[in-house]
Amino acid sequence: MEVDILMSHKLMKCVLIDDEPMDLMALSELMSAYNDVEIVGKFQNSIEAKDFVINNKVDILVLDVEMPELNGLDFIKSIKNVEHVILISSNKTYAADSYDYNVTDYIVKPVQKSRLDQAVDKVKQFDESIKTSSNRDFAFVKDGTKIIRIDFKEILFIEALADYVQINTTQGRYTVLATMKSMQANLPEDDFFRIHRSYIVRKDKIRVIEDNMILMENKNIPISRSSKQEFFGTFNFL
Amino acid sequence: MANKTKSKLNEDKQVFSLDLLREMGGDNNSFVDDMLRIYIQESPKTIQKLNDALLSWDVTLLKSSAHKLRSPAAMMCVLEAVQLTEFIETNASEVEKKDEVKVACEDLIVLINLVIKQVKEFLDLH
Repeated sequence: MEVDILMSHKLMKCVLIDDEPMDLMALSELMSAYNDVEIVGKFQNSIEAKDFVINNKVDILVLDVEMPELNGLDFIKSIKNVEHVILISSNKTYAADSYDYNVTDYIVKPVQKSRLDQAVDKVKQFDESIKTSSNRDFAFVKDGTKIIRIDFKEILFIEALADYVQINTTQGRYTVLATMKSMQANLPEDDFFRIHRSYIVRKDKIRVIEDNMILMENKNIPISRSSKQEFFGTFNFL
Repeated sequence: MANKTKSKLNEDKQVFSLDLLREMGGDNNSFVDDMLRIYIQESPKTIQKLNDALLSWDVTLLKSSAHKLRSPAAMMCVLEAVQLTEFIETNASEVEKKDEVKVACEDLIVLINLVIKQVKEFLDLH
């Protein structure tokens, strides 16, 4: 299987995966037209692609849904370090499923330039919104097809749910494809505390702690033994 | 799905169009030629698989072969082939549609073989 890996230093690093050689070449031609996108890998074999994606920084993943070794949807489930996924398929039928995987866009083949322009614009818009919100008191998250602004002061707690995290706020709950580690890294350290492998809480929203449990919004959130001492150390007791 | 035996197809009429490939390639003149070369290299292999699947009535292989032919056919603007692949993929598992699927597969094989022949002629001329 032909594998072409190129390393470079442009802004958005992109990997293309399609088992069909014509589609892969077409994608490569179309994506190479964007000045701010650098194709760092092209793969016909999704297993080989997975190894590369896991071990390298990839900003945009453009991949086919129907592939023999590992299909596109299973591929997305198996990776967590890619910000944007653009799914492509000859079938419209996977479009609905793709929303469950938090993909940035879904394109029906054959991929046309105007349609790919829209998808790349979505990626840029999202990244721009993230940049403008850095060092501020809010962030944008992707919940299904929606991009939602979340004010940090509205967050009550964040719960890990398998490959996702659920952000519980005073305005509602949002399920986002992310890791607890990335959440923790993007929240103000002074305001939030990871009290358990599966929970991050906003400290000023805590009202009652009982038996190593934080009682918040009808939810009992456990405090792990390993974080207990550090957690209580951040509080002022009368 | 109408049965298109080879005799019913007008072989003199070009059944593919390069409009979409030219739009994709923009200023890259070699792109279209490269895509056509991949097409004539890859499609016969898939047609062979489709033929094998038809003979053994291997539904999974029928569907996957038809699927593999769909996007290249769409890029070559062979819309009838795209429709046939869709029909095969959608109906291959339906026992009562076996005869129609069989006809669609035969039509598809004839049509794609004609595209391959015409693409080869086109490349020879250019």
